[in-house]
Amino acid sequence: MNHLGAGLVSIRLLSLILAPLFFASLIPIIDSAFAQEQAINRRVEIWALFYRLMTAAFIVGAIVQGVMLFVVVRFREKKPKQQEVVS
Amino acid sequence: MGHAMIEWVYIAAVTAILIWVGADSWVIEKHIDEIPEDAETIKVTAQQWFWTFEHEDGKKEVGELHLKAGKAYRFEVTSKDVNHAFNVPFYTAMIDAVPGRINKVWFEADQIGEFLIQCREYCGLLHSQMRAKLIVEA
Repeated sequence: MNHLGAGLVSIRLLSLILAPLFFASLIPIIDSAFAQEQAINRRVEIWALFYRLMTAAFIVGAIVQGVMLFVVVRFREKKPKQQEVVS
Repeated sequence: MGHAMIEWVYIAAVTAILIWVGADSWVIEKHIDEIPEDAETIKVTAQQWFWTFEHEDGKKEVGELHLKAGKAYRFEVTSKDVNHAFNVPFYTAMIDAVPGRINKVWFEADQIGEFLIQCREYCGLLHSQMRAKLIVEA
């Protein structure tokens, strides 16, 4: 393990998490390739996409905030001296 | 679990969501850019500060546009003077009206009623009054 903890195990785990999600993201593309041509309701499609993207944006925001909080708390717990107020 | 596993999981999750967002957006954009072959063409001309619409049969309308519900329309948009933007908020349609260019946008009016057509690019003193009425009939 190096200082980032990115050893072989981490990369394998990362691949395990990423691979199914990556293939899941391809489903709409594959789906559209085999779908029959049909008229779409532009207004409905655009608003549906907007709501999906908003959901994704909030999830990304929550993950980023959560990880930041986790990292900060872990750092403070491991280094009690850092918690002292310097006057 | 490695020392920095949480960071790697975070990177993986965010990357996966962003890939999905990109793929989903690309597919929808591709779908909505495809103008149906049976769409009727309407020539839209913008000028300070009103809209002119010309149907396929040569009929012209100024400040009002009558469409049939359930039918797809392709709008060929241009301008006679400065840059404008043809915008129908209810049907999420918007395209720039640029002198010397013909830009295309389409939509199918699926609801009967009166809707707003407006200019969405600042085009001078009366830009805010550059509106027209879209009337969708059965």
